[in-house]
Amino acid sequence: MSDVTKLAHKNPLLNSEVIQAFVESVKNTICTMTTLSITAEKPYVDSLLQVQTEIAGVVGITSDENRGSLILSFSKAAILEIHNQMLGETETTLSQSVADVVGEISNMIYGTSKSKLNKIGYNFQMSIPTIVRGSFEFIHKSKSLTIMMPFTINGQHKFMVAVSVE
Amino acid sequence: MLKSDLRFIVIDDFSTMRKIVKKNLLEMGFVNVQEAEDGQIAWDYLQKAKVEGKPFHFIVSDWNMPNMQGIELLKLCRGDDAYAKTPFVMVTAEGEQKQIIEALKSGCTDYIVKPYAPNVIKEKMTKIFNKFDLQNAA
Repeated sequence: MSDVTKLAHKNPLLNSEVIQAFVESVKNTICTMTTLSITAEKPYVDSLLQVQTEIAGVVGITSDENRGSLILSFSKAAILEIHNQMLGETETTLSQSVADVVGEISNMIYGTSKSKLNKIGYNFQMSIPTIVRGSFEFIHKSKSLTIMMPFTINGQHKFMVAVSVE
Repeated sequence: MLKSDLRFIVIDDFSTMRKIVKKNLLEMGFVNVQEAEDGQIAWDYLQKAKVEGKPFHFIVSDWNMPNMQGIELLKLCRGDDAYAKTPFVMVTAEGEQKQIIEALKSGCTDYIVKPYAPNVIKEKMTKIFNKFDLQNAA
């Protein structure tokens, strides 16, 4: 059995239903909690997990067979737009209130994705999101597969959802 | 009972949902809303209110939180004479059937899966007010 075939049997990210579940969960969360329009661009594989951002939410993905991370990384403009829409407040800095919105959105997206995926036979567990602010980079584990899912809100502000699973 | 006399406690580790739920309640005319960041902090508030003879009338809680999860808080409340029958609504991203069943078996009054549309919490609250002895406040 080739390495790719082995991975296909083990890594859920090689199942298009899994990627679709994350994409739909992101769209559903933003559309339900705000009146912003959201466009999903084409997902792609990133061998390096290169995420450059100003603020991000990170949720640990665990199941009996897999470990990984869901990372939502936002530009300042994108997350301020979402924050101000969700809460009806006007923030201009990456405050604690904005960080909490990142955490809550991460929680909702992972929760919705988990429900969809566990219905089709996976066994993902819930975990509590962590929020990181400032300049940072994520480390890609050699055995992981990472799918990058870019989104645009209101046709101008971009954010990235990365799912990395080994 | 007047709307202003009803005491709510809203529990979530992220301020976002506390603000949204509080805003929903304020729009419904309920102004007495305590916030708590996790189940343990909430339990302390609930016990303090009980000792003071002014127990909370309504509990709205997240499930996944540090220190004490919402499901543990629910079970503690149902074992406490002051909160055994207090309306307890779980507002959570845990949307799987097994979790909903566990919450309902543990005595959860109603269950709202996040994300939810703004009118959902108001509709659920109104139903609960009608079901419990809070009709005049609805």
